[in-house]
This record gives sequence, C-alpha cells and structure tokens, in this order.
Amino acid sequence: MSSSFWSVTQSLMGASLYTLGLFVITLIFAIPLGLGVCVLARSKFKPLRAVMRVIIWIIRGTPLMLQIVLFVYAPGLLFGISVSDRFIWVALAFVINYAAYFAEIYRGGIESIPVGQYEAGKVLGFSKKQTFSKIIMPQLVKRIVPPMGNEVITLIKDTSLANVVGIAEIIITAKDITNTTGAIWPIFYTGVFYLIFSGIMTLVLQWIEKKLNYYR
Amino acid sequence: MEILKVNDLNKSFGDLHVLKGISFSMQKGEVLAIIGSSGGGKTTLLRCLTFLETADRGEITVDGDKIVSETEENGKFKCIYPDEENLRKRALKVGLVFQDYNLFPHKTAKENCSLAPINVLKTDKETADAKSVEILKRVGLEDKIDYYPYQLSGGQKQRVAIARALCMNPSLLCFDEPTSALDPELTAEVLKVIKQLKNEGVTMLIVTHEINFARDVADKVIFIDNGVILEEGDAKSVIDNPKNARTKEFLQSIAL
Repeated sequence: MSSSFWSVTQSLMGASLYTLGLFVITLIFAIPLGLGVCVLARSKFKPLRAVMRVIIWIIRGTPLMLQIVLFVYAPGLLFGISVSDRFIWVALAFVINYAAYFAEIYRGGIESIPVGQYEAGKVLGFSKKQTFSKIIMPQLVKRIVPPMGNEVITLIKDTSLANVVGIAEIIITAKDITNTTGAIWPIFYTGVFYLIFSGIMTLVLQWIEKKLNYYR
Repeated sequence: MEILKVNDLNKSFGDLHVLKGISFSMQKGEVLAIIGSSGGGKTTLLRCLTFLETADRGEITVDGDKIVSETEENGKFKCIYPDEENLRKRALKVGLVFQDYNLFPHKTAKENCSLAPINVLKTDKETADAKSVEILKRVGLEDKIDYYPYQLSGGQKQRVAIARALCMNPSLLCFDEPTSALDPELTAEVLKVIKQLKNEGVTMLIVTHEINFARDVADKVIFIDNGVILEEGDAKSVIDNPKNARTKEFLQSIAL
C-alpha cells in the first residue's frame, strides 16, 4: 500500500461511499420510523405507551457502539443465523437508534404546538386525521428542522462507529494505511472528508430552513 | 325561528361545579351578550356550546337539531352525545371566534378561510377561494388576502378569524372575548365588523367584557355568576337598570 497523497485520497474516497450509504439509509428509514415510534409512544393505550417509553430509554440510554456490536453478533449467537453481510445489520442498528432520537424530536415538536391549533381544527370540523395532516404536520416540520439538523450532523460522525465490527469505513481505512506504511497523516486527513460532508449537509439544512421561513 | 336552545346545562371539573343548570334560547338574527366576572362559567358555557367541552347534564339544540340530549339512569341524568363522526358534522352549525385567534400560521388569510371548506365541506378550491375573498372583503381585508398571520395586526387577525368562521356558514357564530387581546383602537375595528354582521342578520353569541359594546349591539344580555344565570333580558335594561344585587355590583366594579 502506498502513502502517496493521491492513493490515500482514492482509498478514503472509496471508504466514503460506505459512509454515504449508511448515512442515506439511516435517514430514509429512521425519519418515518421515528414518526411511527412517536405516534405509538403517544398512544392512548397505556401498556403500549409504556413499552415504547422503555424501548426509547434503552436505545437512548446505551452506546450506539454497543448496539452495533449486538446487532452484528446477536443473530449468530442467539439464533445461529450467519451474518454474511454485516453492513445490513449495522445499518439496522443505526436506523433503530436514530429512530428513537427522531421520535423524541417529533414528540417535542408536537407538544410545542399550541392546543388552540387543535381546537381551531375541531371547531372548523376537521377530523383528527385531517387536523394532524393539514394543520399540525406542516407546522411540525418547521419546528423540527433545527433539532433534526443537529442529529443529521451527528450521524455523519457516528458512521465512524461502524469500525467496531470491522467495516471498512473512512477511519479504519486510514488506520490500515498507517499500519502498513507507517505514515500517520492519513488518520488526520480523514477529518477533511467529514468536514466536507458536514459542510454540504449544513448548507442543505440552511436551504430547507430558509424555504420554511415563509411564515413565522 | 329558534337557533339555539340550551336546557339545564351542567358541567363539573372534578369537584368544581362550573355550570349549574344553564337554560336560555336564541332567535334567528339575535345578538346575545354573555357577561360576568372571570371564573363565573362564561367560557365553559361557550366551550360546551361549541363542543370543545362535554357537558355532564342538559340538552343543546341548534337550529332545530337536538345535538345533545339527556337520559335518566337510576334517577341520575346524563348527556348523550352523538358519535365523533356524527358530532363533527352537526357541530358545524356553530362557529367560534377565539380570544387569541388561533389562526393557522402556515396559511395566508385566504387559505385560513378556505382550508376547512375545501377539506371538510369538500368545496372545490376555486369556489372556496372565491368565497374566502368575498368574505375577507366583507370584513374589510381586501388588501390582506395573501398575507400570513404574522404580517397582520391583532385586529386584522381577529377579522380573519371571523371570516374563517363565516366561511363555514354557521347558523350561530360564537365569540370568546374577541377583543380582550387587543388595544382600544384595534378593538374598535373588530367591534365595527361585529356590528356590521348584526346588520347583515348573523346570529351571534358574544362572551365579552365590553359592556358599552354589549349595550350598544346586543339585543339580549345574560349575566352569569358562579355557574348560574342571575339576570337576563333586554341589553339596555339589564346594563342600565340591573335588578339583581350581584349584577349591580359587577357592573359597578367594571365601570371604575
């Protein structure tokens, strides 16, 4: 393995694809799943609410790294399922972990909408479903973009945690280069990739916030 | 023609008996002002009449439709409400203008007005928008049609809220202290609109602290205190010559 700038850049760019994939998959599935979890956690049925609260507590209360290890090794250890593609199980751990955080963001957003909005909907004859989709949801989106943005930026950096199960993400790739060539700089160089990635996401989030700024 | 008939309405929150047998009726085109000190039950009554709150006992009939009826079970009376879907449709006969407007912040004045006609009455968008514009003109907001609530003054917001309620063609339009969040100048512009609606024949029930306005615009005044109607009658005679000692005391206290 060479430690020339160009070859390191190429290796790290290859590893970035993994980061990008995990990032996109997590967002695509965790955003709707989080809403589902939030709705269940607010259910009128008390036992269901309690179960959801406990699940959210466990997921938010333990390190994501531990959850990744569990998702990759538990199927084999408990059920004898051979995990041929670790990436899928790592992605599953990410989706579930982020859904729990997103659910709490949705909950905060829903609770921040004044009760008068629901009452206005009711008095005007909207069904509960319509009140949610036409009145609450559009206002919810605006309120949750800033905290969701925080999670999105955190997610970019969290993808590096997948190295715990040996997935060739950016940092582990750089470490391998260091181990084989003795050059330390590739490890620091990985920061540039994260910065570019989070820089792009910051701009995207700013654009979304601006789009939603047509009302206050 | 009787638009509203309330019979022996009772409502408690836990041990607190807020409405203790309220009965009255309203005729078409009539304007009724409900006055009384805070905590006397005015707002709870209004919330029961607009079905935001469920009464414990008594009957509510709107425009000939007995929406809330009463039943007796082992000597105990209780209200029977229609199921949610049914109530939702029948309750449309009563409109409500909130104290703090509760406009939809993500919608323009016009969209605030046409959102319910489009989604609830299933009016097509063009008809609903045309009607919204017409009603917004009626309340003097022809130049604010595409403004968002945050771009409007309190008085303008309240007029949008009135227009929004009118777009649903209610048989009865209720107001919950419509001017108590407004300064005197903005209050005047909202009261002017309410006066105009009276001249157009809109049946209105107004919970208010504006005693002069009540005397001026209302046909009838009801004074509620501690959950009961203490005095009821022609607006001018109740306000100028109250018979009940408690009414006198209340009117004197707010005249100061």
